[in-house]
Amino acid sequence: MDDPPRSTAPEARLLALAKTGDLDAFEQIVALHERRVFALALRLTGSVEDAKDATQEAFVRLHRKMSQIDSDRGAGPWLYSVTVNACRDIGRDRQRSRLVPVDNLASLSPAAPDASPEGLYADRQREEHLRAVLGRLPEKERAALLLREMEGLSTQEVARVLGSSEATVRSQICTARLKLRKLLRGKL
Amino acid sequence: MSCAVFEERIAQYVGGEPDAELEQHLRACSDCAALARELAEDRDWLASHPPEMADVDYAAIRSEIRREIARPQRAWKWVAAAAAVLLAIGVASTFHRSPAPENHVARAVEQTPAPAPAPDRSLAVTAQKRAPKRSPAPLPVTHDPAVRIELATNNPDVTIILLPELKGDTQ
Repeated sequence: MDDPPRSTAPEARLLALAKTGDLDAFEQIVALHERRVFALALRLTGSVEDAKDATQEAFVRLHRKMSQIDSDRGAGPWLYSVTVNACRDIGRDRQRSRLVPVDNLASLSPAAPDASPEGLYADRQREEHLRAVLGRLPEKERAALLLREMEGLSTQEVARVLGSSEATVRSQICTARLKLRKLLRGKL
Repeated sequence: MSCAVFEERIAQYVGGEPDAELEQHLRACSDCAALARELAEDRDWLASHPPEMADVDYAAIRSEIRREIARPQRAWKWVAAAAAVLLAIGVASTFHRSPAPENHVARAVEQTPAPAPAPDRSLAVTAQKRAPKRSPAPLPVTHDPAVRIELATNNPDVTIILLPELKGDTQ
């Protein structure tokens, strides 16, 4: 496994270079964002394989549309938007969900990560449970909540990414928080 | 049980929206305080990264990305478009070379004058009216307003008639 190219320049400079066709600069941009994009895709799709596909697709689309990226804003918001769309496309293409049925899982509460083998196993079980529960939220609510909580986007930024109004996004995030809490604790 | 009236405000407050009145209520109401605490736990959980991320082979993903962007983008579409243009040119030149019959009508396909069922005139008229829009290539240039091209279709009731545009037609 080759190591990711190390980013030695600010993203704006990397974007400017990538726009001229500099593949090394593009790969540094990929290395900057790949983990966040994968994590978002994993919780949006609920599947590691789908998340890999979505991550790949997001960066391929980034390369094709590089000229449209605002270097000052960075590639992040654009990438999250494309990731949400790629996950939606993958979901529609497959026409089936790989999510673990939530009814088969015990109600698990969030807990601090534990590095021991038992702790890692428990963490994975909790994560599976979380993803199963996220899969029961409506698509837009799930995307709005994850963009806010995982990526830390403001309501305005989430609205821009999802093509919705701020009021709609604010309501979607609140509703999703309350539903998630109930689902995670077996109260819904 | 938390106070239903406060639920949405608590969800917003957990997201970082200040609410002094709600804070006062949370100090007095243990149910609402519990709700706020659970929502904050969920928020922190979502902010953490999934444990599977440690197992992901990002180099393999990058390698796939590299391979994908090196591939010519949708080249087949250009090939198909070029083939369509060549076909249209071929069809147009075939008609152009055909010796014009005495009555100045070029027939692409001979229609058998077999006793066919009575044609649906309304359909035929519709097809004739729409014919110019379906033309795949510019008509051969002619100065004879009487020249026209008839294209027989698979439907014996539909014949496409191509008429040359005359000066003043578009005005």
